[in-house]
Amino acid sequence: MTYFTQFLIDGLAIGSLYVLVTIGFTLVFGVMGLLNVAHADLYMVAVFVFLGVAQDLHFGIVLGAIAGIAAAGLVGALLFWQVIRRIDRNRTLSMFVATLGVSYFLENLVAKFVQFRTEAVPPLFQSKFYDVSNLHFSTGQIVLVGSTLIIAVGLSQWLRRSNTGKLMRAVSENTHLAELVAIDTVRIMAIAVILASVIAGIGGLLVANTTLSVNPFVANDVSLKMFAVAVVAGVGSVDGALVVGLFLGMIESLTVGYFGSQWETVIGLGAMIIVLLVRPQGLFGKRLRVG
Amino acid sequence: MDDPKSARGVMDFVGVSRTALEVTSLSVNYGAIRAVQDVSLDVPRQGITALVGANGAGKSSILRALAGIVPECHGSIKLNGVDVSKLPARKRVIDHGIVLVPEGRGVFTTMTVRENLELGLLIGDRRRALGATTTFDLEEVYNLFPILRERGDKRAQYLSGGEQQMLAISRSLLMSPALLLVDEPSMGLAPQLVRRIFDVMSNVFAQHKVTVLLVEQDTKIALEIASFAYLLERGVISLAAPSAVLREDPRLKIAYLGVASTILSGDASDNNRGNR
Repeated sequence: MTYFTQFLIDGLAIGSLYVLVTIGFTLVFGVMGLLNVAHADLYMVAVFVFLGVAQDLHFGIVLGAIAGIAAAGLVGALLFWQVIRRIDRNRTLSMFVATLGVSYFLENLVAKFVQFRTEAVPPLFQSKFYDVSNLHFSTGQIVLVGSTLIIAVGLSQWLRRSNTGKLMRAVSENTHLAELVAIDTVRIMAIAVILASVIAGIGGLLVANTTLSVNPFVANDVSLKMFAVAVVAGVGSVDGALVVGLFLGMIESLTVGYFGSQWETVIGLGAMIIVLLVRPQGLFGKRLRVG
Repeated sequence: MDDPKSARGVMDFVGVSRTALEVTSLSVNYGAIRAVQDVSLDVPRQGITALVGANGAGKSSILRALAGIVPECHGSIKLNGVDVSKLPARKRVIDHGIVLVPEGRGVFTTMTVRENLELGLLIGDRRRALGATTTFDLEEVYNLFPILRERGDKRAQYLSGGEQQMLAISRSLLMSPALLLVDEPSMGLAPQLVRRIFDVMSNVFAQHKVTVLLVEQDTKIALEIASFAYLLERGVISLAAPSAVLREDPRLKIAYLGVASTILSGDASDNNRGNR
């Protein structure tokens, strides 16, 4: 039973990573109908910029963290104005290929800077490690999971209550109708992309704070899980991504613990296939409009 | 002034026109298909003008072109003397008050009734700041359609078709329209409901002096509330007359039965523009 609980605790931390990356992705996909494959890379960019500014340039942890999050937002903004905006929104495949290109470019650019090595990341703060009745956990993990809950619930409530959130939901449901009620759809999309990028950046820093390492291609693995969580939860559902992300993290952790790590990815992708067959709109998704 | 940027004051002074909307040689294409061909029409200020015709005649395409949401259209669209044909849809709404109540379910179904109305108010506030005069507040709208007050916290997807149509119309009114384009409000609704919605529309439009261009397949009811009407056939205007006159014209029935009106009427182009 102790093992089981320990796996659950570790799973919550992994799940938090999935949640923080997926809520931004699903927000952007929901609002713009755009598959931004490069989204998870912003998480990696934030960590490397943090590393560079905090450690190599000696600006310290706080400035480094701010720079890392700002860099994620900036790259997201550039991605929106220089790539996404130039492509016809109805051409999903073109979007997919273009953002995939951006993803490869970012990963290899960063890799070039660090000579294709996995880098050690300094912690954001000194973590304490607890050992309560044979269960191990750290303040880093607690902060990660807590922040994830706050960010996901906060985003969901913001979408529900704020004016901009309402406009975002309107654009998300029906872009044509949104234009008829004079919503500046481009502005709303830009806000969605930048917000999503910043959240991914925050996620990157919080996760690196527990793993204490990062490599330029870390996003490949995260991307795959991000798609799985978004699809299983239902694209556009932030609440769904929170539940499914944490759940997937825990399931994966249990799988690795009891069956071995070769089964880890099978679970997430298997769930994705089953959900696509049984409930294509996702567990928490709204039914897709036809026409 | 209905429109802050218009030269209406000057025009009234020289007595030029009671015309709010002036469309000249409008054509709409969808790829190789020409849906609307060389249509010219006028909509007088503060009245209801109807655009009737059979299914597929191009009525909705004209409204969508006026709202600025068709991929390709040519011709000039003047509202109160200002050419808006090159403006994006958003500018037409905010700066000129051209508001479309779209065909079918023109509401955000995943949002609540109140949120849908708030979206209208948001634009209405900006329009009022620019000097728009047709103003409505939530209270007035709730008085028009009390059911919307009751259903305030319900998602619009749980409303009946008629209630959704009431919601779409209400939201559009809250946007302070200078020109309201109403597309097939009767679509898919029970006859008694159509009657009720048309009664409310006709009252509120007259009372608040809203300028309306109404597209409707149900000719009978459209001609009851409109003062002037155009008959559209296969993308071309074949008749233009006061509603009372058009109602009695045999060519109206023929247009709906699908017989070529040119057999009876000769050259239709004489009637291309209402002569008022």
